[in-house]
Amino acid sequence: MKVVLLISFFTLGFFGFYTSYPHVIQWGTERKINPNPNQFVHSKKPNHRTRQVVLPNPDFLYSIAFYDLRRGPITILGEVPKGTPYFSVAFYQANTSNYRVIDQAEFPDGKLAITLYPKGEESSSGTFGVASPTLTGTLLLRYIWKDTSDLERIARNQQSLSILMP
Amino acid sequence: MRKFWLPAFLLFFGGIGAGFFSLVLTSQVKAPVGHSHWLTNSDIGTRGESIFSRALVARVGLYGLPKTEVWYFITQRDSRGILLEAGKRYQVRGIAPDCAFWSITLYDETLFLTENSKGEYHFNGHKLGVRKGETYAFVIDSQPSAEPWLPAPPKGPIVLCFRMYKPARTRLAERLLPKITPL
Repeated sequence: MKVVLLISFFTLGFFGFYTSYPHVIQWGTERKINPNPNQFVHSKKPNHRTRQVVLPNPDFLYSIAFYDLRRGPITILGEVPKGTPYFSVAFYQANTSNYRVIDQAEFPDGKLAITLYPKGEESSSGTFGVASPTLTGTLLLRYIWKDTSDLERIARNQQSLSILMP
Repeated sequence: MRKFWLPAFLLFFGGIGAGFFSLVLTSQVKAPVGHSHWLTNSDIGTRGESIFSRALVARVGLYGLPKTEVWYFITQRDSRGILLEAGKRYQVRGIAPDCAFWSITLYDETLFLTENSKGEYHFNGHKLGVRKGETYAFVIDSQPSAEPWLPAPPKGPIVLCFRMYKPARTRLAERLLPKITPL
């Protein structure tokens, strides 16, 4: 019995580490990029000094926000880039797991309007609704660029982004 | 009582240590594709991923996208299975895949972009001027080259990541992946 209990302490430490590791990484990433929730931070063209997240993709400009739904749903507004081969809004729960990706095909009018609400609560805003499994998480927008002429246009798209809070 | 709690605490922290070292030692994302040395992990970005896979992705591919959006492949080895090393010269040759966008990016062993005089870190179909189904080739070298050239740092291990965004409904096959040949 004592041996079984001792082994269970080892198992608890082992699985506890694996379960908490993504949360620690998420916490550290938030602290590094922007500790204030529900605010977008826009990246410049990734280069060798880009060190916030491993494997930065130089094809993309990123806009990232760490959301907090404890005070209620939030609405993400902005413009979708036109004629781009790829643009997406990806949603990650508090343990860094992706639970939804929306790409440009879902916004044919070029207007981004998404209400993010806690799972179990209904969205009543009339905008595109996404249910978050956790009260906190990450929103990551990816803008692909091909020529340097795209950078200015994408910067305008990024500046158009806003988060409305209750 | 103390005879129980002391080893219990030691084993608890031993478990944390074992978890940490097993994660650090698992330096690769899962399965190789066919007989190639390109590795992929189909669990990235899926809700069904295990706690082990999620921790690994948080370490080596934080905020990855699911395979419906992008296929990720990563390699530290050339086509013969020998570790890629900056300072050597390699040719990367393949067929442009059927997808919305694709790219091949060079990283250092810490999985960050490498400093170089050209300020270039990757090639994609647009930069190489190839359409789907066409053959492309470029070289990786620390020294400038007349051919399409991806600059590598002067020394140290290097890693390549191949990304295919919105891949066509084709089966994942080795033929889609570029060959890396030392020159």
